Amino acid sequence: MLMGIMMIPVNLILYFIFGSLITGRQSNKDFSISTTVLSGFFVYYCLFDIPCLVIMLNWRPLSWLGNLWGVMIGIICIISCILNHKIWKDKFSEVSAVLCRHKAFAISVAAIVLVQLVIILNAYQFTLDAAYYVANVTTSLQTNTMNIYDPYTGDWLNHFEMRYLFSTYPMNDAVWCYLTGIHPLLWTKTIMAGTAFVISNIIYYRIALELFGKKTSAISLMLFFAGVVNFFYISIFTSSNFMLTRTYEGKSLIGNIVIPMVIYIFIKLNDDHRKGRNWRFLFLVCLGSTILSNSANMLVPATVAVLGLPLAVRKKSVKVIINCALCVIPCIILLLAYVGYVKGLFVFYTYPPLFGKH
Amino acid sequence: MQTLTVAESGFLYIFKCIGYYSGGCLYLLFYVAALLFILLKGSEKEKAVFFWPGIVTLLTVFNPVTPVVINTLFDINKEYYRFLWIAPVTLVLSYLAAKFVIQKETIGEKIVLTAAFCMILAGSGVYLYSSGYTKAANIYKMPEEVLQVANIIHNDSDHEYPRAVCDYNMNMELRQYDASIMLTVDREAYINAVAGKITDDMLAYDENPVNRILGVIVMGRQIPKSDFIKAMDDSNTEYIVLDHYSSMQYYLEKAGLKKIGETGTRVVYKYTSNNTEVFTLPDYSEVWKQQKFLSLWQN
Repeated sequence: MLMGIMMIPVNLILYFIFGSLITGRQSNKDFSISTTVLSGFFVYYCLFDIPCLVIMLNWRPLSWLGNLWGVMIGIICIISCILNHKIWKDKFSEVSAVLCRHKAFAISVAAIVLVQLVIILNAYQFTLDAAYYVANVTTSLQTNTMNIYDPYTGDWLNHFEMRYLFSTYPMNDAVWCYLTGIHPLLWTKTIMAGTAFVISNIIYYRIALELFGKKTSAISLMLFFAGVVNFFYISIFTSSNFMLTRTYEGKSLIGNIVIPMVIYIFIKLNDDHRKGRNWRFLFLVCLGSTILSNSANMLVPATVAVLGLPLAVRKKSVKVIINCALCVIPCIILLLAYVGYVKGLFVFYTYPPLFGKH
Repeated sequence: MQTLTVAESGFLYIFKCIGYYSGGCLYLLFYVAALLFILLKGSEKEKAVFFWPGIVTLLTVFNPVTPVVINTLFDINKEYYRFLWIAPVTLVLSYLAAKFVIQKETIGEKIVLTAAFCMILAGSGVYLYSSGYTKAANIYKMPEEVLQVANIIHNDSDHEYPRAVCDYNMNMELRQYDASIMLTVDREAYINAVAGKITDDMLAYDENPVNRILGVIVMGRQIPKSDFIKAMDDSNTEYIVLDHYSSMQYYLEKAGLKKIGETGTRVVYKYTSNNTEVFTLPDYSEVWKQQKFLSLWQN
């Protein structure tokens, strides 16, 4: 359990290291630890998807991916350390000084997040969807394969289910269970639940910072009220409920990380819609969202459209619409691929056709 | 939203969807009220960030025509509620509440207003643990009985992948903990049985053995024991896990199943047959040998 709890900060540190590969190229003034963690979350999953898909579509074992990804993480961490150690050192000294000046703020934010974490991580929840999502991780680990067996029953599937093929978020869970020996239930229901919750709150913090400036008490209050709303905005369909009970489902991350993240980026774009960095960030989030859940392929373009249209009108800029369209291309491609699969145009088998298993 | 369809509800679908989505919460109404407030009293930035996107959201996502149109392209019935996540209810409400509080001058006023907002939010919402807070029994966040049942089955079985049918909750949780136990019934089939969708005709004539097993253990139907045993054979089911209070225990014993273990509220039965095909994982080594690209890397 202790190792499990320790993995939450380990995840965040890993995202920070991955994110630094992008944000570390910025000036010291623009470099932000929280934004780096958020970027890193999406960079991490974008990079993970590449070896995962290659190995999965070649019917190779999960252990291969685990070993390869372990090595890749090591290499990426070393590269990031070499490239960014100076900016990290400078920034951590700066942030330590800021936190010392605003102790009450730091303590209040930590308390707000920790209290909620303790409550949700200690609770037992029965949800039907876990029978698929968590069991998928357990099944992949048990069989040393990826998405080849039906998580509900354990029976062999003759083709990959397209809804979950490109959304490799659960396979990352399985890889970490393989690498650490942690049980999938502990990984999905405690470690990733905690990690996702913290990331979600980092996004609230960033949004509050954009809206309130440096009024720390207002930021703390907004985080507090966001917690209250989440704990009371409950039906089985609300994103709040998904965040507090079902983070092992990628779609929960769409509702609680990706959509707020897109809103955050549009708040930044509202200040400067010509800034290429913000558009690249939006593209990264859109691309990363496709790896978290198939639901992103419709939800993310819709969110970008809803936010992009008023921005384009207000700024009288066609380029905003073009940029929005470019950002959601990964979602649209996968959406069309899914339609093609549903219409029976193609299928990815779990065994090569020449072996005659299907 | 399993029961709500665009085909049946038409333009009313969105209103029913919002009703299901909100449950007992008034927060969507608060969100609309917050947008109105921002329109009337908000700054230019607030309007740009929340109001105009909010209006576009209301005109599109919450538009009765939208789900009808999308449903002609994709089956959106069960998933449309996810579009409602686009409305940033949590962000808007928490932002405005914080803004009102910090505008107050004295600490006392701030505390009173914070408490007032908390009461309003709590009173007009549904608490996550309104039906009680259940502390997880272990690090797996699984009832202890799931672990015990898995142990009983593995201790009894002489092969790696035994196959079982369990009561509803156990069936949904067992493979999350132990994926080496195969389950005969998947989620949809089980939900159909619980909803009473297995008819007499299906029990009598259906070739699907799963329906017969569900008919017995979920619906308590006393079908001919030979039919039940054939279903157990056809589906290669070796274990049945029932609630202690299930009235079908006597039926199972009469059908030849043997009780092999008990936990606090569950009984585990074993069916022994010479016809059971033991599940083994397909062997991919031949595939790997004949593949060029990754085989080179493997070597």
